[in-house]
Order: sequence, then structure tokens, then C-alpha cells
Amino acid sequence: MGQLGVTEGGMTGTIDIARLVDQEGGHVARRIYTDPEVFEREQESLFRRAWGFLAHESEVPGAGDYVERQLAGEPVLVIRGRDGTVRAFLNSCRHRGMRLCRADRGSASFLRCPYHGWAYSPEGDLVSVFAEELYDEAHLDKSALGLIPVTQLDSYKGFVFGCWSEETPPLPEFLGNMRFYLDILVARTPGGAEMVGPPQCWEVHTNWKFATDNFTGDNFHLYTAHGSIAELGLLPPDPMSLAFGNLVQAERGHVLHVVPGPPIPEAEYFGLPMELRPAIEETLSPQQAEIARGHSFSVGTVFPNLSFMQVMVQGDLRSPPTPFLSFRLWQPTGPTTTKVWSWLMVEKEASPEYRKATYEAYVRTFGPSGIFEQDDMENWEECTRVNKGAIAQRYNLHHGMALHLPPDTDFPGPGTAWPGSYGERTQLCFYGEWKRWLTEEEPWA
Amino acid sequence: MGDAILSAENRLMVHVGDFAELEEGKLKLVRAAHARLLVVRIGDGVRALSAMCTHARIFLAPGHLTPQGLIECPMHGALFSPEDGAVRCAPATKPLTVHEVRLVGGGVYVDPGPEPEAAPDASTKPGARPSAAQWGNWG
Repeated sequence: MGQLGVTEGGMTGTIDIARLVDQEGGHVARRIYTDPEVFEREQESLFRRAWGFLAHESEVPGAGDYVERQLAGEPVLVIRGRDGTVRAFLNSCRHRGMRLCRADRGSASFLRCPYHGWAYSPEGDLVSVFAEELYDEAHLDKSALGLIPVTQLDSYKGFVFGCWSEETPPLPEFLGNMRFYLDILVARTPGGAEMVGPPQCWEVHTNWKFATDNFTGDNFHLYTAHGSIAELGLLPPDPMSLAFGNLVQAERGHVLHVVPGPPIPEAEYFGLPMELRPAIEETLSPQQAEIARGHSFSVGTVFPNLSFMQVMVQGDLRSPPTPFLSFRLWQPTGPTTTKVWSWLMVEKEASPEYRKATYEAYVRTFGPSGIFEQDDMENWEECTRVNKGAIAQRYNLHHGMALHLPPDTDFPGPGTAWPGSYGERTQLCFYGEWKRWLTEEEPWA
Repeated sequence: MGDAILSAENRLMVHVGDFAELEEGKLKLVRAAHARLLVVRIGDGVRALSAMCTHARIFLAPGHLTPQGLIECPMHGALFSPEDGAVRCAPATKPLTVHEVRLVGGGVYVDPGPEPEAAPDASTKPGARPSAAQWGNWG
């Protein structure tokens, strides 16, 4: 049963993914957020083939430092070797498959399996086997039993990405023009940015695409979803004040918005401290610097599920608007469950005073204790719950805002930019790319 | 088309329909030049009011007045009087602007009012920037 250009598959049998997203017409079928078959297809065609964010190099600064992450739902150990190289392995012993390392993060000279005691070096080599004298050489070749490496591993400006497919193009190609915009956020000073402390993690009863949908640059939910915050005076009074700027398709499914703030110097350069601004001008290209200078807010998503927010917020009525930069990973754990990972980032050159201010602004507004985050989670969970309904699924969802506007050809950055930040262009770019990965042999071609 | 009808403020008034089409107690949403207005018949007279709620900047909906004869905003439930645009219930605090109406030969003509400083879609003009006023005391 379809409407407005989208026809869904029947209640049984294989879903025709191509018909669940109508990018031209601006419609999306509800079952993409709830269906177990769609979830399995995503794991196979998207998450086991696309580059996924694992960790930031600043999270594992020393030899033997590790964090445990997930890549396509499988546990991955990101660990820095004694040679300084960051590697990533399936967190599974080659003997019985036991989860080798069971802490979220730590530092280890060797990784010893809790089950039978096989031990690995931080470089992933099997170095010791219990009762080794009871094996002959034909039955134990330790050199062939190292930890299973992530198929492709690379990093961009400290962001370590992994990929389970050999066929997927290298990371720089996968990111494409998104690198131009990531640099504005994470490589705008000579030292670059680092993660502050461990990430916050929490489970949400929603499909991961509700999070990315929101973080493709949905600025127009602010005055309804966060209406109570607006009424407190923590958002500007005019609901159209945040409608300016651009929606940008950097490359394929990599999207963002850039939004100007009030016309005051404090709001330029995303509101970053004055003392950092000369370094930003020197570090970025003229086009990147122009975008940084002219905007206060930027929210976007590195396809498929790494999002960022560079925003100015008031943590309370007495505090001035303060910027923070957060990266979030929306890790699907089931058709309607998602684990959220949220990191705060700050420039290595930042003063202790600014570090404290940006940290406070972040935890008061986002993360499990954040006043904005609470509103979003409530909406995403209810959307997911309702969209499970068989009756609800007869009717598609609407993504039609500002689709009539032609691109803004004066925008200084690469990709395609549309004028105004209230619109659903970037959502549709995301869903279009999602459809490509689920339906095409070589979606990157 | 007859002679141009000018408002008291010397603006060209716009024909938005005929009196005979208007039902008592029913709001009609019309476009008059740059303005979107609510037109409502009250007895033998017609009122035209700005269709933008003064609270959260959403367009008020066409349809019926409330049983009390008021205009209700569909978003947060603010109530306005169709007679003079006065606020009758929060969260709005500012009245709706009343526009001049003339009935000429059965036609309803309204004054669209001055061009607003920032139209609702101003943000979609390439290179447009928000004004300081839009940010109020934020920060």
C-alpha cells in the first residue's frame, strides 16, 4: 500500500528497499525504522561495507592503551602498540572466540584471554599459549593465530575508522569533500582537537536513523521539540532566527548545516575564544576560514552514523552562550534500539578556563543529563514506537521542506549548498545514500 | 477591474474575495500581496487580521472561530479576538495586527500593510543574515 510516490513491499517476503525511499518526492516509508529485515540488510550491505568510526587517537595516547568499540555490531579492540601505531582487532580470542578484553578502556602490556589464558601482544600477535609444550608444531602455528585485524583501518585527523570490506574505496575517497568541513571543526588550530575524557554512552529505544535524521541538520525542531527551553529564554526569541545559513551536501551521504548567529563578533568562529581565532585564520584555507568566521552553529553527519554538533548554548540563564563541539556515534544494536556514544572535543591549545566552560555547557545541554538531549530522546523513542504499527506503516513520512529552492552557488565550500537551514534536503541526501548502499553492488561507484 | 482602491495609508488595496462567499464565524486565509491574512465576517462587516501568530510565528489556521467567537492558534492555543486582534489567552502577549477592509460592489478589499522587515522566508535568500533584533537579549 503506497502513497505519494512510494510503494512498500507486502507484509511478508523480501522487502524492496528501493521503494522505501522516494528522494525526489520527499517521502520515506516508516518500516525503515522498525523492520528486522531492513536491520539485517543494513548490517550486511551498509555497516559491514562502509567505513565506521572507531575511536580518536587521543583516547589511546600511550603504548598498550586501548578502548573497546563496535564495528557492524562486532566488538573491536582499538589499541596502540609499543611501536606507537594504533591498530584495531576483533575482540575475540582465536581459541574459543572469547571476548578477550572485557573492559571499556584501559592499558595493557599483554591481552590475556579470561577463558584458557592465550595471551596476545598489543600489536595483536599470539605470544603465549597455556601448556604450550602439549602442542606439536603441526597443530600450533602461533604466527598464524594473531588477533583478527579490522580489514581496512585508517585515520583522518586523529579519527580512526575501520571497514570490514576489502572492496570499499580507501577512507580519503570515502570521506571526499567532507574532509574540507571536518577540518573546520577538528583541525582548525595547529594542535588540532582532542577528546575530553571518556565518551558518555546510553541506550535509546529508537532506530539509529532517527538520530542521523536529526543530525543531518534539522534546525526546525528547535522551537517545538525544545520549546520549553525557548520559553526559558535559552534560545533566541524569534523562531526564524536560526533559519539562516546553508544546508550542505558535502559528498553523497555526508551532510551538514552551517548557521550564522547574531551579528556580533563574539558569535563569529562558532563563538570560539578570541585567543584561538588568529590561529584558526592561519591554519584553515581562506574558504574554510570564511565559513568559520561567518557561522555560530554547524551540525552534520559523516555517513552513515557519525554525527557532530558545533553549537553555542547557554547552560543556564546566568551563563553567556558558550560553544562546544561534540561527536556522536549512533550504534545500531537492534531494529529499534541504539547505543549512543557522545564525546566532547576541545582544541589542544584551549585554556583551562575555556575547557571548564565548554565542558559545563556541553553536560548541561547534551548527554544523558542534558536538557536538549532529553527532549530529543523522548521524540525519537515515541516516533519509533508508533512507526512499528501495521496501520501506521500504510502511510509514509514526509520530508518535503524547502525542496523548491535552487542551490546557492555563492557558497564558498565544496559540494552542493542550499540557502537557509530550515529544510529537508540533507535528510533526503542521507536517505538516498542509505538506499544506494542497501541496493547497489558498488554504491561508491 | 475598476479604479484602484487606496487604503487610508495610501496603499493599493487587494481584492481577496466577495462578501457573499464569507460565512459568519468562519475564518478564511488569504494572500494579499506580501501579506497572509485571516478574513472573517462579523455581521454585516468584515475584519482582516495578520495570520501570523504573534507568539511562535506560525500561521493561524482557516476554519471556525471557537464557540466563544475567538481565533485559536493551532500550535500553543493562544486566543485572539477577531474584532480587534486583542489577546484573550496566553501564551501570546501581543495582539494580531488589524488590516483595513473595504467592501466595494460586493467585493472585499484589504490593505496588505507595510512590507515586513523580515519576511518568514527571508532566511532562504542566498547570503541572508539574521538581524540583531531576531536574537533579542539572547546571550
